[in-house]
Amino acid sequence: MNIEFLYPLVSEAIRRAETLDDLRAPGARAAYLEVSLLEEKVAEVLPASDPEGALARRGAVRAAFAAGEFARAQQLIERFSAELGDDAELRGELRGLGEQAECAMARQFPHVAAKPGIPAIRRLADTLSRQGAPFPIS
Amino acid sequence: MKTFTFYSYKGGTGRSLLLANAARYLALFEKRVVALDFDLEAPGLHFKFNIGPRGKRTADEVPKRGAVDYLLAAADAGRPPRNLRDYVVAVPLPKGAEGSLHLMPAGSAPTGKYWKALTTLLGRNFFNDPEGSGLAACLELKARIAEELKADFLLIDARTGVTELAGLTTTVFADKVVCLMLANRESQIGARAVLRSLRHAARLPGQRAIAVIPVLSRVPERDSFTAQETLSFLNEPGPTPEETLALKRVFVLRADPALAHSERLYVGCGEPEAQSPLHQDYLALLAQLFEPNLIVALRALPERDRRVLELIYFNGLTYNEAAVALGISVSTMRTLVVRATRRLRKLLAEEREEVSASARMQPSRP
Repeated sequence: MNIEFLYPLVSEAIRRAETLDDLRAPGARAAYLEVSLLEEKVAEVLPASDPEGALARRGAVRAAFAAGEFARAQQLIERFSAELGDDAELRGELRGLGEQAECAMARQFPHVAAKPGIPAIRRLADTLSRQGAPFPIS
Repeated sequence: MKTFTFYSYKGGTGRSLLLANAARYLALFEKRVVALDFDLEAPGLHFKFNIGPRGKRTADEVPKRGAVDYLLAAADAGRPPRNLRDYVVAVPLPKGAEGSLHLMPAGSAPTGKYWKALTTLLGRNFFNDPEGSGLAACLELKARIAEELKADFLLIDARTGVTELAGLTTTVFADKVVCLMLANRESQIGARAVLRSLRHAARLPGQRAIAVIPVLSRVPERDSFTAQETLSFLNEPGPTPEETLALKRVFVLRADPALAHSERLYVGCGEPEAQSPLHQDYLALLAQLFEPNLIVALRALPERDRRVLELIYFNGLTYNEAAVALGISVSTMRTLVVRATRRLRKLLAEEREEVSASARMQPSRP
C-alpha cells in the first residue's frame, strides 16, 4: 500500500471514529481499531524520523487505547520504541501515552490499582476476552 | 473476606434460598455478611430476605437501587459512586444475633427502569470489556465491600447457565463455588462442564485454586445411592486429566413440599415446622461449609447446652420462647446460653489450637 492510498483512508476512519464516539455509538471502538490498524500501516511506510511517520505511530497507539485494545497498544509501544534508536523524545511520548492510560484507570479504581494492580487487570481482561466464552469449557 | 459464589447451571435448584439461609446462619454466628445479587437477568434475593417469621413477606417494596445502578453509575461517571451504603440495605436479623447482614440487591427489579439500566450496561459489553474497566469496576466493588462494610463473608448469587457474569462470579471473584444441581442428567451434564472448566479458569496473580462444593438439591428422600451415582458421574474422566474432577462428596438437600407454596427461610426462623429434613440438611451443609469444626464441637457439648444453642441460634427463638420450650425461667435461660456459648467457644478454640499445633509439627520442606 502506498501512502497516497492510505492517507484518505486514515482521514476518513478518524472522522468516522470521532463522530461515533461523540454519539456514544456502539461501533466507536471498532472504528478506533480501524484507525489504529491504518495508522500502523502508515508507520510501516514512513520512518519514525519523518514527522508524518512519528504522527502515525502516536496515532496508532492512541487509537488502540481508544478502542479498548490495551494489549495491542502496549505491543505497539514496545515495537515502535524498539525501532526508534536514538529518538528518546518520541519514545518518551509513546511511553507517556501508556502511563496516562494506566493512571486514568488507577484513579478510577484505587483499591484495584493497589492490589492486584491495573496491569494485572488488563492482562486478565484481555485473556477473558480472547477466551471467547464465559467459561473455558473444552 | 471470604467469597462464596452460589451457582447452578439450570434454575429451580433452590440456589438463592440456600444463599439466604447461609447468610443468616453466618450472621447468627457473629459474622459480618454481605449478600450480592448478581443474578441480574432474574434477580430475586430481596424476596428471599423479605420473607418474615411467619412465612409472610415483611415488605413488598422493590429495592430502590442496587448493583446495576452502582455499576452503571461507575461506567457513566468514570469512577464508582462515592457512597457504597446508598446501594445496600441492612437485613433484619432474629433477636440475639450478633453479626450483621447487608444485601446489595440487583436493583429496582422488576421495574422498567431496572431493565433499561441493565440493557444499557450489557449493551456496553461491560462484563466482557477487553479494556478491563468492567472487570476493574466489579473488583473495586468487591474490595469496597470488604473495606467499607467490613464484611467477613461475601455471598454472591450468580446467574444460571453460561453467561459473562456467571463466568466472572465463579472464577475471578470466588474463593469457593457452591454448585447446585438436580438429580437429572440435563442439570448435571451442564454443571459438570462448568465445574471442569473452573479447574483451569483464568485468575488473578496470587489467587488460589477455586474450591468447589457440589450440592444435589430437591432430592425426595435421603438416598445414598443417588448421591453416590451423582458423585461418580461428576468424577468421570474429563477430556483431559487436568479437567477430571476429584470431588470427595456431594451434599444433599432434600425436597421440602412446604416450600412449593411459599418460600421461607428456615435458619433462625423460630418455627417448630422449620425442623424439617431440609432444615437439618441446611445445617449440616452450612456447618461443613463455614465452620467444619462446629458440628464436632456441638456434639461434644452436654445435651442441655446443645439444645439451648440450637433453639436460640439455629431456630431463632427468643429467650422467652426457648425458656417456655424447655420449661425453665427466662433468667435461667440467659445463664444457660451464656455458659453454653462460652463452652462452645472454648471447644472451638481448643480445636483450632490443635490444628495449628499439628500444622506446626509438620516437617518443613527441604
